Amino acid sequence: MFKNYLKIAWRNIKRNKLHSFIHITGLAVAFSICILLFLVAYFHLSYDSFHKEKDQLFRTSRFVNNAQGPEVSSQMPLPAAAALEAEIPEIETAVTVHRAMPENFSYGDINMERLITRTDPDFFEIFNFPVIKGNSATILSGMHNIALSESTANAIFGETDPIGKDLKIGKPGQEQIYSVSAVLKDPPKNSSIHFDAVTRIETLYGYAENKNNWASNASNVFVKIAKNHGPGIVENKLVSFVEKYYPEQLAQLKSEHSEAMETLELLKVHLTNIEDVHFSGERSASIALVYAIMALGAFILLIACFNFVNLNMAQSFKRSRELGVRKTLGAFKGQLFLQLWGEAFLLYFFGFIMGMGLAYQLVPAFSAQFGGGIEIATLFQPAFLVIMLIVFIVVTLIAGGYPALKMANFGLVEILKGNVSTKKPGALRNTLLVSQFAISSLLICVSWIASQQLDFLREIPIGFEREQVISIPVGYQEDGRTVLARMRNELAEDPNIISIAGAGGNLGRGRDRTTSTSITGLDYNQNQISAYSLLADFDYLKTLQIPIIKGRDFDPNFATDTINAVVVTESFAKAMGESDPIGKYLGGEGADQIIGMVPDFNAYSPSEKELPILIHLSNDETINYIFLKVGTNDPQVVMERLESVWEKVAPRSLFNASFLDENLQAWYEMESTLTRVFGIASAIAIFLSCMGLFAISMLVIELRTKEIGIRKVMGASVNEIVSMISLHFLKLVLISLLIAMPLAWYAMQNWIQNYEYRIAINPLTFIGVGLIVAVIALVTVSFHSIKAGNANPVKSLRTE
Amino acid sequence: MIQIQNLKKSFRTEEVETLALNNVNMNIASGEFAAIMGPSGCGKSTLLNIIGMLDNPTEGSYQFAGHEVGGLKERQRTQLRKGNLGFVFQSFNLIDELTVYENVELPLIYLKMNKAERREKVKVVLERMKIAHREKHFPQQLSGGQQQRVAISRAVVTNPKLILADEPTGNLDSKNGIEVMNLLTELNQEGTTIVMVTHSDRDSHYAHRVINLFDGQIVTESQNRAMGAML
Repeated sequence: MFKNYLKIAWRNIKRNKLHSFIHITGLAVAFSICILLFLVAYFHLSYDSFHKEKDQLFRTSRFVNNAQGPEVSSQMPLPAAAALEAEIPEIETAVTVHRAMPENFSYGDINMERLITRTDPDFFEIFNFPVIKGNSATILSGMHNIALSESTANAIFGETDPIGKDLKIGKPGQEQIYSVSAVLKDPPKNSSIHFDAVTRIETLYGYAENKNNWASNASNVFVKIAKNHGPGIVENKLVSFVEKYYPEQLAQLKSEHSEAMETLELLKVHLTNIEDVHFSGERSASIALVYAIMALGAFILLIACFNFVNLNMAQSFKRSRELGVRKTLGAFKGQLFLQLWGEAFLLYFFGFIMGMGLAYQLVPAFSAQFGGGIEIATLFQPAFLVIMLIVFIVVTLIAGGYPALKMANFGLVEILKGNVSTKKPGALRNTLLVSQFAISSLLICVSWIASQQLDFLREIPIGFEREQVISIPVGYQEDGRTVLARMRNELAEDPNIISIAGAGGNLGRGRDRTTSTSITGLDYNQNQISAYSLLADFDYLKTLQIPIIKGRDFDPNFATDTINAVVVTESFAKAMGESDPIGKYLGGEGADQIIGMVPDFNAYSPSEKELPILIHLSNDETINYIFLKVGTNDPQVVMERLESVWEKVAPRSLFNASFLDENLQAWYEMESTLTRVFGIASAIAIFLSCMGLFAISMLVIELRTKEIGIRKVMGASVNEIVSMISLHFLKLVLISLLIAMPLAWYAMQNWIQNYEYRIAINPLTFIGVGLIVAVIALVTVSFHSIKAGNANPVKSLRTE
Repeated sequence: MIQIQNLKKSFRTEEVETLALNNVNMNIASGEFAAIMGPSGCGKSTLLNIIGMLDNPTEGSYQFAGHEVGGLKERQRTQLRKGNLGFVFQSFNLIDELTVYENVELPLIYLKMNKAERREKVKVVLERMKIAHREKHFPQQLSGGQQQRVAISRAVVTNPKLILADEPTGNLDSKNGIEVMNLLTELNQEGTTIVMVTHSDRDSHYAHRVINLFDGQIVTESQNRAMGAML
C-alpha cells in the first residue's frame, strides 16, 4: 500500500513537471532563506550560551542618575569585584574582565597585533573556555602568566610547544615579559568575551593607581551567584553595597536630585544574565532586529506555504477522478489523506533538502553580509537542526495536511458527477494571494523607506569634513607621536596634503576595527560636568574643518597649549552655564583653561550632536590615529603616496588608511544590515509570490477556459479578454496594497522616531511600490492571459 | 448570404493530417433555414465553425454577405461576427458565474452599447423567450429547456442576420426540444437566416433544406416541402 502511495506520488511529481518545479523551487528558496535568517537569529540568541553555569553568571552594570540625565554603564571600578565577593555571600565568585585590547606581541622576529583580555585567575573557574594545553588550575597563578588562544599560539609558535615560552608584549621600549602557561580553544564567535590572549588584571596599565579608585570605571565585572539564589536577592543587597562604597557620589547626586527618595533612584548596581549581555548595554546588538530577522524568515516560509496550499487546492479538481476511483474501490478517507499528505511531504522533503543545500552554499556570502559570525558548522549543530526540523514538521503538517484533508473529504457523488468545483476554494485562494502580496508589498515599502532613511543619515551634516580626510591607525608596533612627527616632515612639501593631525581616538571605525570613547568628569562652579574627552594634536580642528566660533585654536607658539589648554563644544559651554567660556578654568584655578569654542559635532554617533566634548593636547598620552586633510579629487594617487611614505615612517605597522566617510559607515551598521536584509527578503518574497501567481493564474485561466471561449464567440476581442483576466488579479493586488501600505507607514513612522534626524515619509514611495508590484503582477499574469486571449474559442469550447 | 466554394479544412496533429472538409461548395440565401446532417465526425461542426467565423478554412473561398472572410485575421473576424451572428450550442454554453440577464447582456457589452439601451434590448428578448421572470437566476438553477431559451435569447439579442445552431436540442427532452425548434422557426419566419447542425430527423424537418455531409463532403441536398410553401 505504502509503496503504491509513493509510486503514485512520484508519478504525480513527474507528470506535473511545471507544478512540481514551482513547488520544489519555491520551497527550496524559502527554506534556504529561512534557514539563513534563522542562522543569523540563532547566532545572536545563542550568545554566551556555551557557559555551563550560565544561569548563575551575571554582569554588573551601574545606573547613575547624573545631572545631565540617567546613564547606564557596564564599566565598573577595579576594586568592585573583590568588594562584591566580600560583601554579598550569595556571590560565590566575582571577576574583573578588562575588555580585549590590541597590543603588540613579539617573539623572536615575529611581531603581531593581538587582542589581550585582562582578568582575575578565577576567570577560568566560572567561564567555559576549554584548555588544550597546560594545567587548568594554575593558568593565571603567576603575575605574568599568559594563556593564548589556539590560533594565536599557532601563529606565534607554529609547531613548537608554547608552554613556558616567554613573550614580549607592549609598545616598543615598554614591553613586558609574559610566560605562556596555557593554550585555550579559540573562544566561540558567539561569545561576548573575546580574546586572543588572557592575562592577569594586575598587568593593566595604571592598575596600581586605580586598584582602590571607585571613581574610575574601565572594566566589566562578572559574578557567579550561588545555586538556588536568584539575582533579585543579590540586587536587594546591592543597595546597601552602593551606600557603603559610593558615599561621596551619592551625596553629590542627592544634592542634584533633591526629589529622589531612595538610593535606587540615584545610583544602583544591577545584574544582567550573561545570556542577555549581548543585547544590553553599550554597543549591544538589537534584539528587535533579531526578532525582525526571524519574522522575515517566517514570512518567507509562509509565502511559500501559501503557494503550496493554493496550487494544491487549485489542482485538486484535476485529481478528483483518481480520488473518486480510489474511494469506490474502498479507500478510507484516512488512507486518502495519508496518500495526499505523503505526496506533500515528499515535495516538502525535496524542498527542504534542496533548501539546506542552497543554504550551505550561501552561508559564506550571507555571513559576509552580516559582518561574519555565521558558520556552516552552526547548520549542523543539534540544537539548530532540531529547531529547523520542528519548523519543517509543523509546516508540512499544516500546509501539506490542509489541502490533503480537504481533498480527502470531497464527496464521492460530487466527484463522480465531475462536480468538484473550485469555486469555494476561490475565497481561500484569493485570501492567500492577497496575504502574499500584502507581505511582499509591506517588505518592499519597509526596505525602501529604511534605505531612504539610511541615505538621509549618511548625508546629514555632522559638523566636520568626512570626504577628504584620511585616518590612519598607528597600530601598536609604533609610537604615534614619533610617526606623526616623521609624517609631518615627509609630507610638508606635498601639495596634496593640506594638513596633518594626530588624535587619541578615531572617528567612526577604521580598518583596525577599533573604536574608543573616553568620558571624564570635571568640576566647574561646584557642578560636575560629564564630558567626552578627546585627545588631539595641533591642526586637529583645521584638518577636520571644524571652525572656531569663539577664542582660538591650539597654537604651537603657546607653550602652555600642550599642558592645560582645552577647546570645548557649544554644548559643553551650555553645561557649564556660560555663553562665553573663553578663559574659564575647569577643575579649579591653574587647571585646564578654555581657549576656544567650536560648534557641536557628531563625534560618536549620527543621532547625538549636542555632546559636551572637551578637546585637549597632551604630550603624555598616546597618539593612536593620524588624520590628513587631502586636497585632491584623486584619492587613489594620495593613497599610493601615503602608503609609500608610511613604509618609511612606520615600517613595523600596517598601512590601514581609510577615508572618514568610510569609517562613519560603522555608525549605520544596524541600519544598513536592516536595509540589506529587508531588501533581500522583499526580493525573495515578491519572487515567491509571483511564482505562486504564475501558477495560480494558469489554473484560474484553465478553469475559465470555457467562459473565455464563450466570451470570444460573443465578440470579445483579445484585449478585452486579457484585460478581464488582468483586472481580476489586479483587484487582488490592489487589496493587498491597501492592507500593506498603512501597516508599512505605521511601522516605519514608528521606526524613524528613533532618529533625531529623520526623513518625512514620502507618499510617492507608496505610489512607487504600488506601481512596481502591480506591474510585476500584471507581467506575471500576462504570460497566461495573452495566451488565453489568443486561443481559438473553438478549441476551448471543444474541451467542454 | 453565404457563398462557399471549394472549401477545405485540414487539421494537423504531430503525425497525421486529417481532412475535415473536402471541396465543399454551397450557397445559403438570406432568410433560409438550412440543416446540416451527417454521422459523427463528418465535419458538420467544423463547417458550422467556419460559417460562424470562429475558424478559418485552410483553402477555398467563403463570402459572407459579399465579404470574403476566408483569410481574415482574428481581429477582423471578431469585428464582422459581432452583431451579425448569433450562436446556439448543444451544451448551451452559458457562463455559470453570470445571471440570466448578464449572460444575455454579454454580446451587447462587446458591441459597446450603453447601459440603458442594453437593458431595453435584454428586457424585450427575455420577455419574448418567456424567461424574464428568471433574469436574476444563475444557469444551474434553470432546467435544460430554460437554459436553451436563455442561450437563444443571447443569440438573438443583437438582432443578428444569421443564427448558427449546433445541435440545439441535443441535450433536451422532446417537449423542450420542440419548443426550441418552434422558437427557431419563428425567428426564421421573421427573416433571420438559420444554419443548424443536427442529428435529429425530426428537427431537420423544420428546415427548408437539408445538406448531408459525409467524410467532409456534401453528398446530397434535399428541399423540404415546407420550403416550397415558404417560397
